[in-house]
Amino acid sequence: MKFVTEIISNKISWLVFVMSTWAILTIIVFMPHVAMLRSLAVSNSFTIATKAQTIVGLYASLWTNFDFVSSLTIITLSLLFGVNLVLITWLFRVKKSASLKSLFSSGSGTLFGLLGVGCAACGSIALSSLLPFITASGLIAFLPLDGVELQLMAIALLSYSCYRLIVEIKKPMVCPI
Amino acid sequence: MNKKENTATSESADESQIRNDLTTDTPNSAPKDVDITEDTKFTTPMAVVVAGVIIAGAIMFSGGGGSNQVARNADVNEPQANEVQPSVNEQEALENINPVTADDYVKGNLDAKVVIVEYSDAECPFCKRFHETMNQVVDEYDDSEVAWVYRHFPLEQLHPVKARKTALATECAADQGGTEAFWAFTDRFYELTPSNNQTDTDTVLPQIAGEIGLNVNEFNDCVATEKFADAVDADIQNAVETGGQGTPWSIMIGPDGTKTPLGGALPYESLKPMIDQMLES
Repeated sequence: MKFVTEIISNKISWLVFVMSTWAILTIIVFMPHVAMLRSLAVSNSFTIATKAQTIVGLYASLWTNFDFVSSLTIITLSLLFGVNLVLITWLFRVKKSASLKSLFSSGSGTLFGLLGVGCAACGSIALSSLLPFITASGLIAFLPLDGVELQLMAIALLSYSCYRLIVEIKKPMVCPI
Repeated sequence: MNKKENTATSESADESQIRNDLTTDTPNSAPKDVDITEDTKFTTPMAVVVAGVIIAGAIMFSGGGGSNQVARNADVNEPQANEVQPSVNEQEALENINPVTADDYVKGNLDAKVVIVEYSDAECPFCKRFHETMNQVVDEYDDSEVAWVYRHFPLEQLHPVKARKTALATECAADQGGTEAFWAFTDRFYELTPSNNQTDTDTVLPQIAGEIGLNVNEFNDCVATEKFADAVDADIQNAVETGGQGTPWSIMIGPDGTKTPLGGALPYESLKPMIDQMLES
């Protein structure tokens, strides 16, 4: 596993990891507050400093707007997303390719993660942005774990994607026949 | 200098190390030529990150095709289960808010500079948390500065029967004991119950009614006959008309009438800067 040491000692990999983890965490935590963020963006009633303070304060909603399990899932998802991106970019830098299988599991894992966000948040979810509210809340009510299933599926897919990417990175670079 | 030599000089040390490692592992395989310049070294990972953020942002801000088509009441057997089509423009939808009057349940003064109208579902765990946050807000600001208005938004499909029954119960409490009884009942309910439709409403509602000194028999009759069903339905209707898609759903009204939508259980840290700015203006 020498490539692990290579990746860890690489500054760009750390940059990609921190930025992507932070980005996905921000998107997930801010998603239930989209209406307020849109309103703040166009509002003349608040100064930029107030808007910034309000937005920074939103990170605390990781504890107010999600239950404990969801908060842990969101943090895990964000970290896995960061690891995935590091592996993908490493693969592209070294081999200039990645298998569709890995990219698909990574992409679908992220998508499930986003859809599963806040499923327990009484309707304030990404799903209700994509589907009519009645359909979204109906779907959640139908799921035995109130939507946590989607988040668990996302973690499984992203973990699988990490595994696939590691296998690909370890593959020798050869000219295919 | 041939192409291979050119490539070798432009490689960074770590990349040639990786190549060496891989060729060492597989001595019989020929390494594939990879031309990685300094530019691509930085642009590829950055492009992937930026693309991901843009796609996610697009999903987040597009609002999707169905976001404005919401049902007034999730119970399809209800005769009032008509679909409401709120305004496409979120800001315009906020103007549909029913005016705050003396008939509302208010903590603070009706003419406070900042008014936060909350549409809440008593069985929603995030409403329970936001209830604490709002109690913190009204505790820390003067009555003339911030007022908190409580309205009902029970989500029948997520918390069938119990959320609506509790909304009716709070109205029955107010019927007997006025606004003070309403808040005493509501605060105690959020304090006692586990949320997520796990409340034993048959036990808890009369228990709280007794605790706060109401006539329990009269209270039970009031809840059983759904005496205030119209009031609860009117609140649900108004929540949807103003753009509410989940609970807690709140609208902050500034001194100049500006309305800001507050979706979800906002933390105090986010509410405070906005309230302070509105009080200064």
